[in-house]
Amino acid sequence: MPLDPAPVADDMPGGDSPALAPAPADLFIFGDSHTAALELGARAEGIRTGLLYLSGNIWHKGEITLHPKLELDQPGSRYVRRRVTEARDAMGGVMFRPDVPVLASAGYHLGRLLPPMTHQGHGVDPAVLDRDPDASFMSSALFETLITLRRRSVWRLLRLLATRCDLTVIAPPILSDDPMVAMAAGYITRRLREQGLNVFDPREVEGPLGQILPPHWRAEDGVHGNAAYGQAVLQHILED
Amino acid sequence: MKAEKGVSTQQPDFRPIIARIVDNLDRMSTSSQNPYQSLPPTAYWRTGVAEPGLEGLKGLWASPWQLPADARFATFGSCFAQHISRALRAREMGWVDGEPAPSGATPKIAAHFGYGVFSARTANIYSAAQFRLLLALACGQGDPDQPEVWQDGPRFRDSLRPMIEPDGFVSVAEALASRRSMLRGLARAVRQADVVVFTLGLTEGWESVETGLPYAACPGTQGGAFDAARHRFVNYRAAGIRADLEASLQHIRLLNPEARLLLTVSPVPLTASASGQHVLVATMRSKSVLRGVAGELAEDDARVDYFPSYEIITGAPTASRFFEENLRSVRPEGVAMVMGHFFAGLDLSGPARAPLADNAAEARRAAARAAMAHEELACEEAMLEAYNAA
Repeated sequence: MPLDPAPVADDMPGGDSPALAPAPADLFIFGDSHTAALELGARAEGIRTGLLYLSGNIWHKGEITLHPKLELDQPGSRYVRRRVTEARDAMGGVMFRPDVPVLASAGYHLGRLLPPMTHQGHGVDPAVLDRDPDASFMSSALFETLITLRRRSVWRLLRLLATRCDLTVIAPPILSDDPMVAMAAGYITRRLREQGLNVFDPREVEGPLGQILPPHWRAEDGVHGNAAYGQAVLQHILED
Repeated sequence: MKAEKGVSTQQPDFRPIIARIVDNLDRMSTSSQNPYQSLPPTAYWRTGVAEPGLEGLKGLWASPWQLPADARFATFGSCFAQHISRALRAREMGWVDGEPAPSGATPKIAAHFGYGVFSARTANIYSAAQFRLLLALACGQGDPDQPEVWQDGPRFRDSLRPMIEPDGFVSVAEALASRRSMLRGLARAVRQADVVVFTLGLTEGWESVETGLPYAACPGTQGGAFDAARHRFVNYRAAGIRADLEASLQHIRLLNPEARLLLTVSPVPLTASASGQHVLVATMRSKSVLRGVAGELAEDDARVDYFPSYEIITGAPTASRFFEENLRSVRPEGVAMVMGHFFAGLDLSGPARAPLADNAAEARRAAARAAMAHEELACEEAMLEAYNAA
């Protein structure tokens, strides 16, 4: 079914600037908490890195927009503005620039996206009906519609940013064999690519990266990758 | 004048005679009274219909059941049944949703996927045979995977509700899982309901030659492919419809011994008839048979009642004014009048009960909240660790 696009400001600095000062970083990473592994991995690789981290909750709300001066903003949020300003300053005044590749851990935020969908006992795996006598089945079409509803504004933001810089979206690591997570991640990756975005999704990689995150690649909290995982992701991307 | 000798001057006492005459007249009057003389005005067409007019119609229906103030209704049936669902929800009455949409679905998305229209995602149930089949499967009687799944290009459709998934299911497994989920929702709705409202739609249908199972629609019209050797037309007759409704009632009581069944007949005419008759004649045949069976079943079983939505829309007082220009779709004001009579006739004077506790749903919500809280905490810690590592 047609879904109305969220309004997003379309103009921003960087793209039309005739001359930019040399970047203080070789890579810019932005997004949710999975940016930590990427940044640690980049540092381990000796890559100078700029970072903008905003909680997955903030991305989940879908209120981050382009801003003509700040590049990114969440209207009404001084916290976001402060974090953006810090990141811009660290990048010499421009976060998204043609000469600095950008990794985006954004557009997924599955930890916020999926749990609310299960409040009524819904699952996307038919086996859920055998496991739980109170469970309900949700078709893949409905599941994808709900994901699109929640993520379309972030996807549009990523698409606009990709016109200003060399942007690659990094899908989150594989933390479990939950079919709902796998289906959601696969769908988002497909939709992002349909919009012309470069996406690295570990689910498509053969070998350890494409499997459930082993303990030695997990952060202490157990639900994020660590520096070694981030390093492995970066090496894979660089090899490509 | 003087009185003659030997003749009393006292006036005769006629009072006993008069009393006897009056008594005789009373008895005569009583013996000649007929049942129509004591009927209320609503029993007469002149005073019940012609004089009050359409807007003045009163007492068309009075529920025989005293229901609790927070009575719960489950609604199923033909397309007209969804008006009952909508009206109950609009009045914030106890409409049972046995198969709610996932959290986060907007009302528009939910409706697009067939949630919230009926008390489970059954889609339209036009015939008593189909109602019986769904209830039997919901009770665990029969193989829920037996009714066909139709291929529709690269997609698949459930022959029990071909249009429930707007673009079809991506696989047979998905169609069957969705069907089982619906049957679970149907059982849940009946278990939670005080009254199951079923709107009968028509008598014409199609069934499998091989299994005898009914289809929701003729194969080939909403998916699948018609094959005269495998699919046959059936115009259900009164006895068969009654048997299907009685079996449905047994299934309902198996799920919920206290549940009552309120039958209605949709006033919406047939879109098309495969009976060979003119569609107008076929429509009247369908509706008349359904009306007769529903009424007799209500007369015979104290836990079954009939609500006259059909009469309100199609009766002479409306002069068809409640139909749209296509003489088929019912205008909103007609629906409003039907529901007005429905609510006016309900007896909700029983004491309200404690609301249903959905412990499973609450546990799931708590688990989701905990997961998200952990995620939030873990995310912040992940970032702190990142800075620490720097």
